[in-house]
Amino acid sequence: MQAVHEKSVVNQPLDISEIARTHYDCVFRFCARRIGVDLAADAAQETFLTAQRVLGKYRGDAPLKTWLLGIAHNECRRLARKRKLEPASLEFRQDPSVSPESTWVDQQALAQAMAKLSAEHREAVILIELDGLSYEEAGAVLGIPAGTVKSRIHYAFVTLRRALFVSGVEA
Amino acid sequence: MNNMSEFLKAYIDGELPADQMQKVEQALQRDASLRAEFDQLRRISSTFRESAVTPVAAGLDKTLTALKKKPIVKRSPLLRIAPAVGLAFAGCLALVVVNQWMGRQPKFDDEVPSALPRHHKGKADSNREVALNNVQFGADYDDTIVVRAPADRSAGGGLSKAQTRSLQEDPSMTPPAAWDNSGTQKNGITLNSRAVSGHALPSIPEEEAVTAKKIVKTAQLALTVSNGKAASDAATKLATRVGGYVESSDLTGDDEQGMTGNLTLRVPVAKFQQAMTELQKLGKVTGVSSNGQDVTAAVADDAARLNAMKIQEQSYLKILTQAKHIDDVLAVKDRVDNVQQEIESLTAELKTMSKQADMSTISLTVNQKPAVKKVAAAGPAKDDWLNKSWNTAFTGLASAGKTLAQAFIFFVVFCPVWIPLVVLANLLARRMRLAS
Repeated sequence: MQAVHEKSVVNQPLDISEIARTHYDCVFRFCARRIGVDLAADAAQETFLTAQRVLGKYRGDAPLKTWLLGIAHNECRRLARKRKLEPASLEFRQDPSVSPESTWVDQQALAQAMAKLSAEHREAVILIELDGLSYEEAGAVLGIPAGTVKSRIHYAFVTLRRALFVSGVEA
Repeated sequence: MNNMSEFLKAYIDGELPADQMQKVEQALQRDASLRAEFDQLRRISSTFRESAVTPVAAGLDKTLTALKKKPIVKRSPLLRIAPAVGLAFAGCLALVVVNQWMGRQPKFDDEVPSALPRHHKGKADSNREVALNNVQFGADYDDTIVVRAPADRSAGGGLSKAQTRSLQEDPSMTPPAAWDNSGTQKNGITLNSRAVSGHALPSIPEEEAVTAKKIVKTAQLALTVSNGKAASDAATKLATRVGGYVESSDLTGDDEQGMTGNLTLRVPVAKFQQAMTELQKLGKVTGVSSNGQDVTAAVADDAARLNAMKIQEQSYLKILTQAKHIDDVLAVKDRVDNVQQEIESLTAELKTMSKQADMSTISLTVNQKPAVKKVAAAGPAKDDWLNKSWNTAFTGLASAGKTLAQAFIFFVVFCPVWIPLVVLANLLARRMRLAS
């Protein structure tokens, strides 16, 4: 990604195929977590086709990955609105090899608590916890300041903690 | 829960500045409840990061194939059809320009003067002429029209007094500009008695109508001309050409003060319409009146009386040959003389009426306005080109605006033609794009 970013900075033409090979997995996962695996491939393809059309407008101010995820975010919203999709449910794997710490929270209760979050808080949690973005990158994807992301993630976790621990759901 | 709890998630994510990180660490060491909250948040975060299912990406090849195709530039429907609509408007504009160039546009401004002689033209109008015995127009063409049907046609197509009055009161009958070549007024009223009465009249050829009927025609015509002498000469030549003559001629004035001329033309009644039409072309018609006096009944009456007189004369002459006494001879001779005098008188009267009916009278008045002296340009010569340029530009702008407005009207009216073409062209273009 860094190499591609540097190319754009020196105003060299960007190869959309190369960009797709580099970032397709990330974009696909991003889409799958929002509109489901079934439609993720279509959304990812539309994301790169849109990126191909507007690639000339990319000025390299933000990392290419963030720019692509921003396009993917809009594409997922458009598809969800068009097909009247519900938010994709969060899935957890039952893998005994993972760290014991991960079993400290009831996964089903966590999925239910996530489903009850508002769209903004849920989006912030997915971006930070699942997509692994920093607050600044998440703000760039959503088009909001990093401070707002920080606030949203704080309140989202307060809600989740209350749902999981304060109400006695703790495993 | 103290105020440090709001920084706990950011602390876990490593998104706090160094000084705040230190403050949170100190608070965690001091506060057990804060530590418990921190622990819960960390467990939630760990659950997300470690046990959430990561979707397996698929479809990269399909995406790469799609990216290799020529990108389809999405344009709004308005932008897609804009060239075709522009082409249609250009076509309408061209249509208007060609139409104007070919001179097919109706010249409404010229309609009033040009329409004036139309009702006198051709044989087809002769029937209407018989019905219109008296038609008068003023200089502004706003005088009343008096329509009177001939006496011998009153049964078939004449006008009642009420009909005549209604026509006189009808304001729509006043301007002759509304007449067309077929004798029908544009608002639907025909000025021959056929349409008014609802009965058809047999069409009578002009020559037959003239010989069958004895109508003494007179007309007064006033013209404003640019050259009084030339107009007078032209009128004289016209009278001679159609087989008539100038009965009297009077021309006074000069070019500077203006000129006035009065001419009395006698032309054959068969050429009356032609003469009137051609005379009206000599200048601007400021007044025209035409009067037809039907003397058919009087001629017939005189002819019958003449016949009776001749029979009476024959009778008297027969009696005269049989008279034996001188008193009887003198008495009969006296009667014969009286009858013969009446015969001669009637014959002369018949000849006069026939002559009047054969040769119509046209009283022509020509007026030449005083010449306007050309005043030297007040300003310097450079003002002329400035004014001319301004006038030319202004006229051009008005003309262009008129042309564009006409093109727009064509554009709107022709939409049933060009809209299907535009849709078809759009569909074809789209199909070709997709095929390529």
